[in-house]
Formats: sequence, C-alpha cells, structure tokens
Amino acid sequence: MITMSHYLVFSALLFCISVAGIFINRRNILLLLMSIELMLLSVNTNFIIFSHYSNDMTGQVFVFFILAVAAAESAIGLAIIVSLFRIRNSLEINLINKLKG
Amino acid sequence: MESLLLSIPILLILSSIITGFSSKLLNNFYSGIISTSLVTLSFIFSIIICFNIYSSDNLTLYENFYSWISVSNFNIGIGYLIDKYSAAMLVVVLLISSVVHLYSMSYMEKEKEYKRFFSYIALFTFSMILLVISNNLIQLFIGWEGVGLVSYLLIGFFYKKRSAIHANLKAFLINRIGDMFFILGIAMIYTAFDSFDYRTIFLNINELDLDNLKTYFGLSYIDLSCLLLFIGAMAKSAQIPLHIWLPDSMEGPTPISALIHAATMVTAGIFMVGRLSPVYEMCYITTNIILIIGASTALFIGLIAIFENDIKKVIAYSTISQLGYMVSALGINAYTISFFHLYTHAFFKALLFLCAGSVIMSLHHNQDILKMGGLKSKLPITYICFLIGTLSIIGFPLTSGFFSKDLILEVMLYKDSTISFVAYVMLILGALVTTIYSLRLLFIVFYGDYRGDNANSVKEQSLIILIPLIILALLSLFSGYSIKIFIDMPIFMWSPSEIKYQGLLPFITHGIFSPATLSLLIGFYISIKLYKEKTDFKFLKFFLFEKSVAAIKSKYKFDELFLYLSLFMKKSSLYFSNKMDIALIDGLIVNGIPKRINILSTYLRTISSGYLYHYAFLIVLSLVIIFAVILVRVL
Amino acid sequence: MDILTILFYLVTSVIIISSMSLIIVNNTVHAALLLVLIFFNSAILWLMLKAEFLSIVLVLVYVGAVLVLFLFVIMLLDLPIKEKVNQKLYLLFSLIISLIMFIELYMVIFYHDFSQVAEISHSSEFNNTYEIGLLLFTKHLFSFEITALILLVAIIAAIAINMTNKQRALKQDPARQIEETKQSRLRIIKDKDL
Repeated sequence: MITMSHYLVFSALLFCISVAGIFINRRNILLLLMSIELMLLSVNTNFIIFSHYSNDMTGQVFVFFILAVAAAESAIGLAIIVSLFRIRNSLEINLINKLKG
Repeated sequence: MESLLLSIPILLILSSIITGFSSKLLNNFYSGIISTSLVTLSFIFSIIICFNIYSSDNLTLYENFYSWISVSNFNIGIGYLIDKYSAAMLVVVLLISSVVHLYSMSYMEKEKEYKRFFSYIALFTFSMILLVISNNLIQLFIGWEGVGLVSYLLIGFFYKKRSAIHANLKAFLINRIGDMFFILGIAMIYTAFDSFDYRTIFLNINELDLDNLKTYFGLSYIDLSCLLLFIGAMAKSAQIPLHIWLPDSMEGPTPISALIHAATMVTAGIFMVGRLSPVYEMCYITTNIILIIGASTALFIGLIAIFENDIKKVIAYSTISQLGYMVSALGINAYTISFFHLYTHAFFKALLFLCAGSVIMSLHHNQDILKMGGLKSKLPITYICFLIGTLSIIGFPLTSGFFSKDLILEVMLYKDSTISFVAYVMLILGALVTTIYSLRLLFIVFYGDYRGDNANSVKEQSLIILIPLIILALLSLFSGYSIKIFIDMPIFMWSPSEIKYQGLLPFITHGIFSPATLSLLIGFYISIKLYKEKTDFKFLKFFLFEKSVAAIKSKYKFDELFLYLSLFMKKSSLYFSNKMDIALIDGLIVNGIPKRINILSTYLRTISSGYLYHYAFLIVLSLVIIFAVILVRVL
Repeated sequence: MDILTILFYLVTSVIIISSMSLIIVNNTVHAALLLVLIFFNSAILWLMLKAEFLSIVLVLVYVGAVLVLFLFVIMLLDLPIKEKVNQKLYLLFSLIISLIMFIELYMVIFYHDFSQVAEISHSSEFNNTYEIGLLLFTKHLFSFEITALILLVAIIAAIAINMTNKQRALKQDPARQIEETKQSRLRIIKDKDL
C-alpha cells in the first residue's frame, strides 16, 4: 500500500540529491542548471502530492505556474551560459572565480 | 647667629654660581680670589659659631626654615641642628676647604677649566655643609647625594682621559649601591618613628615599642636599620668591600683628593653614624659587624699600600686604612673618639696629599715613586711638611695622630669581648703596617738619589702652594692637644661614657708605654732596614711570603669580583629578558596573537574562493544547520 | 502486491538512480538524456497521482522544449568530455550534508502521521483539465496573465543578452566592399606638407 508518506519521502530524497548536485559538479555549469531543474521537479511533485491528498486543485494550478516560470528561467540561464562561453571559450567552473576574496 | 649660619651655605653657593657661570667676564685669577675669599669668610663665620657654642653650656641651635613636603606625618624640609658635634665638623670642613681653595689657586693655574674646578669645589663644600648642619634624615641624604655627585664631577675633571671617566663612574656606582641600602635604612627608621627629624627620633628612642617590630634574620629592627645605614656609610667611607672606588679616584686633580677623599666626603659616613649615635646605642649585633669591618679594612688595605708605586695611590690606601680605624672606634660605641681621629686625620691626610701634589708639580706630573728620590735637598719645605704628616700618621708621640690613634687603641680594650680583642690585635698590626708604608714612601721619595730625569728643573713651588702646607703642618702638630674637648663632647642626646682620662701628661706617658709604641719601633726598624739601607732579607724569598705578597698586590681581587658580579647580573638579566620578555610576552602575546590571527585569517580566506559551488555548498550547509537547530528545539 | 505499488517502486527507483548518476556522469549529453528519463518517469508518477493534465504538460513543455534547448546548447558549445577529477573527500562531505538534509526532511515528514490520510477516489467523469481550467481562469486569472508576461520577458531577455553590436571576428561583407571608393581608401601626401 502506497501511502502519502511514501510519496513525500521520495520527493524529499529527490530534493536532497538535486541539492547535492548543485555543488558536486565541477565539470561544467550546465549540470548546475540541470540540478535546478531537478529541484523544481521535486518541489512540483510535492505540490501534486499534497493537492491530491487534500482534494484541492490549487496545488496543481501552482505547479502550472511553476512550470512556466521554470521554463522561462532555464531559457534565460542558457542564454547567459552561451554569452559566458563566448567570453571564456570554455564552461569550466574553475574559471569563474572573479569573486575570489 | 642664625644669620651667620645661614650665610655659610649662601656664600658657598654664590661662589659656585659666580665662578661657574661667569664665562668671560671674570678671568681666572679674580675668580680664584673671589672663591677663596668667600670660603675663608664662611670659615671665619663657622669659627665664630663654634666659639659661641663651646663657650655656652649645651647650646643647640635648631630650626626648620623651609618645609618642602608636608603631608600629615610625612614632613621633609630644610633645617639645621647645630650642637658641639656639628659645629666642630663645620669648622673642619670649612678649614680644609679654604686651605684647598688657596692651594688650587696656584696648582690649577695652568688649567683651562680653572673656573669649573672652583665652581665644583665650592658646590662640594655647599653639599657637605648641607649634610653637616641638617636636622633630618632627608636633608642628610640630599647632602650625601650632592657630595657623591660633585665627587663624580671632580674625579672626572679631566674628562678627556679615559681612565678618569672609568674612575668617576666607578665611584658613583659604588656610592649608589651604598645609597640603595641607605635609603632602605631611612625608610625603616621612618616606619618605626614616623618622622625623619632627628629630635623626634632621639626623643622617642626609649619609648620605642620593640616588641611590635619585626626581627629580620636574627637581627632586631633597629639593628637592621642601623646596619643598612652603615652600609651606605661603608660605600661613602670606603670600607671593605665597597672600597674599590677610592684608589681609582686618584685620577682627579690632587687638591680634590685632599679635600674630598681625605678629609671631608669620606668622613661623611663616620659623621652620619656619630650623628645617629642615640640610635646606634640600641644596637647589639650591628656594632660588632661595624667593628669587624673597620678592623679588617684597617689591616688588609694597609698591606696593599706597601706594594704600591704611585704616590697618590699609596696615600689613598692609607686613607682607607685610617678610615678603618675610625669605623672600628664607632664599632665600640666610642663616637666622639672616632670623631677626634676624623679631625686629626683630616689635617695630616690633607697635608700629605697637598705635599704629594707639590712633589708632582715640581717633577712635572710624574707620579711614579720609583722615578723619585733624593728630593730632601731639592724640595726642603715640602720635605719638612711631608715628614710632619708622616710622623702624625704613624702616631709618633706628641703629634696629633699619636693622641687620636692611641685613644682609639685604649678604648678598644674597654669592652670585654673576644671580638674587640681581635680587633685590637688587628689594629695594632695595622699600626705596624701604617708605619711601614708611610716610612717607605718617605724614604723612597725623599731619600737616596734622584732617579728621574730633568734633575735641574726640580725646584720648590710658589708661596701660594707652600702656605697651605705650612698651615696644615702646624695643625697636624698641635691639634692633638684639644683631646679633652673630644672626650667630653656630647652628641645631641648621647653623652659619652666614662673614659679613664686623668690629664694630658698621664695620657702621653701611658701612651708611650703601650703596645702601639712597640709596633711603631718595629715598623721603624723594618722600614729603615728595607727601604733606607736597602738590605735584603732572607725570608723575603720564602714561597709562602711571595704567594701572600702576590695576593696583596692583586688588591685581593675585589675589582675582579665586582666585574664578575656585574657581568653575572647582566647575563642573568639577559637570560630572563630573553626567556620572559622576548619569548613569552613578545612571542606569545604581543607578536604571537597577531600572528595567530593572521594564520587563522589565511585559513578563513579560502572560504571566499570565488567558486560558485563553494558558495552554494556553504549556503546549503548553513541552511542544514539552522534547520537542525530548529528541528531539535521544536520536535 | 498491487500493480500500483510495483509501478511506484519501479518508477521511483529509476528516478532516484538516474538522478544520482546525473550528478556523477562525465558526459554532459548523457546527463541531459538522463534528465529526459527522469522527466518521463516523473510524468508517470504524476499520472499515478491523478494529475493527468500536468503530467502531459511536463512531457511537452519540459522534455519537448526545455531539454531540447539544453541539448541544442550542448551541441552548439561543443563541450569536451573531462576526465575524472579526484574529489573523493569533497564528494563524501557533500553527500553527508545532503544526507543530513534528508534526515531533517524525514523528521519533518514523520512528525505528522501522513500514512492515515485517505485517498479520495473520484468518479470517472472527473475531468482534471476541466478542474484546473476552472480554477485557473477564475481565481488565479491575474497570476495567469502575469505568467504570460514573464514568458514575454524571458524571450526578450534571452535575445537581449546575446545581441551585441561588438564585432568579434573579422568577417567579409561583400555588400560594403563594393561600395568603397578610391577617395575613402587612399590619401596622397606631398613631401612639402609634412
């Protein structure tokens, strides 16, 4: 029997993995964006779960909005990455250390 | 009378200022005249005061005329206390000072720094007067320091000579050591009596609650404070072991050796102990210590003089030896007798020094006695004065030295303890040694053939130099006859105990038939044989004798001891400074803390690495920690 | 065993495994494709939660648009395949941190007992799309319009970021080359003018 807690645990796990993904990757920045997508996915799943179990459609409406905003954000993020690539000719994260103190 | 008394220091300081600050206005001759006349005037005033005091019965002048600090019980001021003791001391100091002023008018004639010299000796006399007339311990100390300072200035008078600078520093530093203990002694007395004033101290001596005061190392409170004061006197009056500065102080010009290191400054210690005689009467162990120190100084330093070859150094060692006599007299509580010896010694020692100065001048600044000889015919007046001085110092009957020295030896037997008997024996041997070295000096310098160069240019000095010699010679001969005054002299609240003195003639006959005369005769015999007729004794080649002679010639290595001690202090303080100050405080705290902070910040700096994922990591980390804290509290 | 249970466990395990590989693989293309897999599987999961509209939208929008965009960028930028960097300690530490985070979330989840919440089953005429639309266009109309605006802004921003007038590389422009004349290219200076 799959109860709500199973779903919630899954969603939490996915979230944690995506959070780890943000700072594990040292290869290129696209993985960062992908981890962000994953994070958003886990949050969306969470909303769906709660919407389903509380019989309220508001959760799904919110997921709708989140989807739209996430798409817009990844588009802009990729545009930034492209311009970064133009300057640096590489997407190595080690090169992006201008904030070094 | 008070005005006469107050004008003495004023005249002296005036003389010092005039000669010191009148650069080209006054030429040397006039400044010398002014200086000498002012000092002679002060001397006349002191004679008048002394006469007044001695003709009246127990007159004591006492006044505080300037109060410097006055805070409840703590009163420091300038004042005077003149009784028979300090009046006599005043006369002695001013007499020697005026004689030396007159002498240096001619002696320092060729010096460019003539006026500086006169300024200094006037300043010295001023400080000494301040010391003598004082009525409290602090003024005594001020005068004490003042004479030490001027002694420093005068020993290093020829400041371009390296040895003079070493000598004056040595004198000052040894004095300083003594002063350190002196101040401790003053502090202890103040704590006990709550006042620096002599009168208050002496009046409260008997009511002192000795049970409430602590004892230290087996000495009672008063014992310890008197001992500390005496250590200050030891440094000033050149007793063992703080005597090493006096021979080196012969670097200064001869007049000051006569004034300071024979007659006045070195006697300040003796004067001080006599002044505080009511307090010293309460001591038991300290007086024995004083006795031993005095007797050993008298004997052992005298031995050094036998082997010295510099005329002034021989006389310097003889000064230390005679000071040992005075100190031993203090050690048996015979204060006025020691003062009597101080009085006669001032005359014949100053005489000896001034004669030596005349000899040195005549021989064009040659001080080595091995290059002198046969001056009896060349410098007759100097020879006669020197002879009188030598006869005084060895205690030849009817000279002043005979009276004072024999009196000391007599009184030494009054106390019935072993220590005083041992001291008595040491002093008798000291008299023997005194005879030997004094006659050695006489014979080598004035008898025989002239061993120096320029035999024809050796002639007698001018009259201005000879008059002081003659004055002092007369005083050395006849000042001993005032012995009665000194036997009966009271020192403020101390009265002398019974001394068996029946009169002048019985004293003379008694003195002639005492062991002192025996040592005199033996000494005469030995010195005539050794130095006049230059015979060779077999036992002088003895191994043991030569070893001891070598020990004496090295001056018992006191200089090396002090050098070693100071080096040790330097090394140990360096060690402590390195370990504590540099390593511990600087290394750990002053420099160490910034260094640690630096290291820490170097580590902390790596946090802002510039890499995005590091920052993200830190954000997540802090989030996790915050949530953990909240969860633990809530759940 | 319920078919739903098996399906759930299958789907969730695929998602978890591919998300863990996502952050570890070297090849970026593989990462993007793994992400596609994750999205498809979570669409299935959402279907199980009776959110049909949104699962289809997930596939269409995310996989169809966003991930295709990702793949285009990867293709255009021609990223090399990096070799493994030794980062074992860092990996370990960050996994520990995410583990701690998971534990915290777990504690939050199990504070309330969610296992007793009942599923509400609807009739077969329950239209998910209809219900979403009902809510969307009445109560949340304003947010809807704003979302449209956000999308507009995103388009403009994406274009504006990469539109520069700076000439980076020298290119030949034949149209301009023909128009040049001798006067604009050559100037003769006589000696006495210097």
